[in-house]
Amino acid sequence: MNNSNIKKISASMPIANINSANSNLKNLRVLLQQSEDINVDIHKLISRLRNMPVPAKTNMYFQRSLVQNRKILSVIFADCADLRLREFNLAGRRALLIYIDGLTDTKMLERTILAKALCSQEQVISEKKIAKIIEQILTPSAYTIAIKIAAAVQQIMMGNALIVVDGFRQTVVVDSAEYVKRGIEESKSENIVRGAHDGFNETLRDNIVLIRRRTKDTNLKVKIVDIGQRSQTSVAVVYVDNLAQSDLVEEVLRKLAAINIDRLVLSYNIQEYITPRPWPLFPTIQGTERPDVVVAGLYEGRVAIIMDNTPWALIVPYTYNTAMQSVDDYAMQVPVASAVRMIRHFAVLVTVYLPALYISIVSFNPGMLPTALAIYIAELRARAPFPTAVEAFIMVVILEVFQEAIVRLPNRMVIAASVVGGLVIGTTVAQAGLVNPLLVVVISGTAIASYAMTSYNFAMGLRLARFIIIIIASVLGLYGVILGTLVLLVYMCSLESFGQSFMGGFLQVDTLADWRDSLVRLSIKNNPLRPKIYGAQDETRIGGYRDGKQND
Amino acid sequence: MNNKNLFWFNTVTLVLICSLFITGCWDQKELQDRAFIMTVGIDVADEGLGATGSPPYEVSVQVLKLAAGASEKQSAQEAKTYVLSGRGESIFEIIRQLYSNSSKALWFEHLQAIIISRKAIEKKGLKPVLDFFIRDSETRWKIKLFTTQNKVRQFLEYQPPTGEAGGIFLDELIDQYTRNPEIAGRLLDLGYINLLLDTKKEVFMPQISMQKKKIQITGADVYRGNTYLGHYDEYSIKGQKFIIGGVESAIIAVPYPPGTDTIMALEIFKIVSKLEPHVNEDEIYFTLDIFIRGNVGEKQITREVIDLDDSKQIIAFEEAINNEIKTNIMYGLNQSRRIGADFLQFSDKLRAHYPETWARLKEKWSNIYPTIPLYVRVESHVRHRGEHL
Repeated sequence: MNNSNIKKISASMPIANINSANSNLKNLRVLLQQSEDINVDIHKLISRLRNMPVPAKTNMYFQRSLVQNRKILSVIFADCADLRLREFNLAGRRALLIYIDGLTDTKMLERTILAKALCSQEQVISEKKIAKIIEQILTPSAYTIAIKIAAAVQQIMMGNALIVVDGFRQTVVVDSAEYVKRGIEESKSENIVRGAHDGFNETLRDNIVLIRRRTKDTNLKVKIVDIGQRSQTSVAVVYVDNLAQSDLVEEVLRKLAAINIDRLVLSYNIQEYITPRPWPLFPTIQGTERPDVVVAGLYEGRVAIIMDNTPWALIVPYTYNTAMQSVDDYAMQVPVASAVRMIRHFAVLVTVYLPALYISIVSFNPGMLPTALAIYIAELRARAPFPTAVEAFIMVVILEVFQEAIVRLPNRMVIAASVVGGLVIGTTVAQAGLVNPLLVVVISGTAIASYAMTSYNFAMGLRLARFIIIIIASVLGLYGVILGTLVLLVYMCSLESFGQSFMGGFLQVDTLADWRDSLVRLSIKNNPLRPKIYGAQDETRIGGYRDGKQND
Repeated sequence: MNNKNLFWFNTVTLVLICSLFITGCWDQKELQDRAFIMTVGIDVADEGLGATGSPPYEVSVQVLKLAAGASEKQSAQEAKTYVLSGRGESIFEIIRQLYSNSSKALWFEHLQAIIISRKAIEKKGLKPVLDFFIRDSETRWKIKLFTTQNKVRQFLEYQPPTGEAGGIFLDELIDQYTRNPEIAGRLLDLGYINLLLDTKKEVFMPQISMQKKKIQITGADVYRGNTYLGHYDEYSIKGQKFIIGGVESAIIAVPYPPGTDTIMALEIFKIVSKLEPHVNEDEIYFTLDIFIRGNVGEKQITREVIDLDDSKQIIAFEEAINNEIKTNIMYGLNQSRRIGADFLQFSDKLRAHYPETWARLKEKWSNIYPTIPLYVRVESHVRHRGEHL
């Protein structure tokens, strides 16, 4: 290194110039700031330009010139690597076939469009209407004419192919959507023993077919709306015209139309939008993966909402009574089904109350126990390091973490986790004396009771309610449990699902007629009435049934 | 957050914060931190006079000893309970004094039995003795009451051979009255005795005594108010139960054939008894009809073969049973008359059936009662002989 070349800045710049250096630096900073602002502006401009060709709700039409149209489309689909363009001659004119790779049945396009067009090279048709050309030369099974660019683009995004022909403002949309999808499989979350085993998949069309195939009723109506400014997700509203109350259908459509969001990913997104409460503890909308549940619901006068890209259909309204019903209940001997139903109701109480009752009896009101049991528990707890409430909290939290872990884990790990959880929590914690064995029994009983619910979301709500009751119980004892019960009951009675009370059909006096399918289940022959709570237009299932008698 | 949400947020927060301060509710006491009193014994001191001029109370409580952890098995010899005792004028005060001997709070929730010495009832009166237990919110009305002539503390120190706590032993002991008609046990708990005290009726309390280091129920004592009237022995309790009920599944053993020393027994399955007053001008008498159905329970006969298929034999056996029951009833009635107690409720029956006669005789009832005749008719039927050849 040559040290002699290195000089102090002050040596090359006289001291008098420091002020000018400072002002230069200031100018430079201002310039940098301005260039950043310009950069932002340019980006804004670019994004506006991008949006220009098809602003969401404006009417823009195709041009007559193919070159122009191609330019417009290439701007819209800029940076879309999966877009395929194919130019060909059609009846003496240049034509353009546009589709998205993977969403479209290319074999069908080859067979019905390209092959036909190329085989009829000489045929020149000077028709004014594009439909004539299509009908004379091409052989697609179904097509529509589009003149608006936005509509055509949406069709392309749905997987259909677009044919633009030089000299025509009209374009042709060929029904050719075919894409990778899951087959019709058994529902993953709602397993049943006896009943249909097909479940919804992620394709709206297939899901509607699954419903249609179950009934040949033309009164079953399907209305499709697109929701989400960006995702434009198709959502079908399905109902039986002469059963569902018209204001219910209107209400559903109105609420769907009011959804203001850019994308829908889960059907639960819709559920949250159309539920009136922002903090619902229990679901007021039924979710199901089973087409038979949807059909049964439709014939109770309810309305189903099916979203594309999810196997979870929503049914409204929803009540506690319906939450307690499982498909299997209807495929069992009536007395057995009734007993199972009652056990399920009992399981609700166990899920919510068992730990709270344990805490309050052990630490507030041991006088309620039979003497022998009181002595037994006291001896179990003789050297317990924690108060009952803390002990119960530890166990409940461990249980919840464990359940969450099992749900999240890959299938192969679940067995390992079960062994670890079962051994560690069930045996070792109790042996170490951290919690007493009776509490382990109580907590596991609670967990098992919560698994007996037919609706996962309802069970989750119960689990949270259990926490609340446990907190009140550990502060106020049995008095608190009663207070908590009152609050919970008032809350549940105040819940509404599309105008129907959540507890209606079970606790509501004017729908007591629904007892036939509530705590017990009568045979389908003896239960000719649709659930009163849903207020179907036709109350009876059996034709000519009036006042408990069947007349001709 | 708009105003409505803010309001709810504040309300919920306030409730949650407030609830933190009330965690010390008075009965928030963990199960294992409570000392369960199983039995209370009430006695009076042998010497010394209290401020009121009567000897002071001597109260002992039998407290449950918790085994340390369920995994370690307690040895059978080790006592399940221990006894604390104190002396004073007020039972409640004595209980509170006992806290100086106990690391845990004393609770009466699982109290099983109260034993009161005859001396304590005579000196203090039954109602004052029971007053604390009736007032206290923790005690149940199903608590069993006992009286004894012995000192009370030894019953509390008694370790039952079954290994259970002494109070539970006493509680279950008295429940055997359904099998053994000599035990007075039906409707003799704290609540019922309180009811009898309130209606100024005679009170009937099972007596226990310590014989050969074993607790035994030996008849019952009768009190009216604070005075001790007398003692019923076991045989007379059985006699009275034929009238007031509670002898189903009792065994009646009689010499059979009559006059010999061999025994045949009847097991009672059903008994219907009807006590009725009759007034004929100035003459008052009671009739008692008893209908009994039962099986041959046992036959201790070896010398001669008795053919029970012979209806004459059965009739003779039924006759012997009838006589035995008649004797038993008259024995009980006589004992009742001797001590001047009207436990069979003759007076109630008369008042219900003949209110006018009752109004006339009310004043001199205690003189008339021992002279009223009772005519007993017993009809017993042997249903199954249970013979095999």
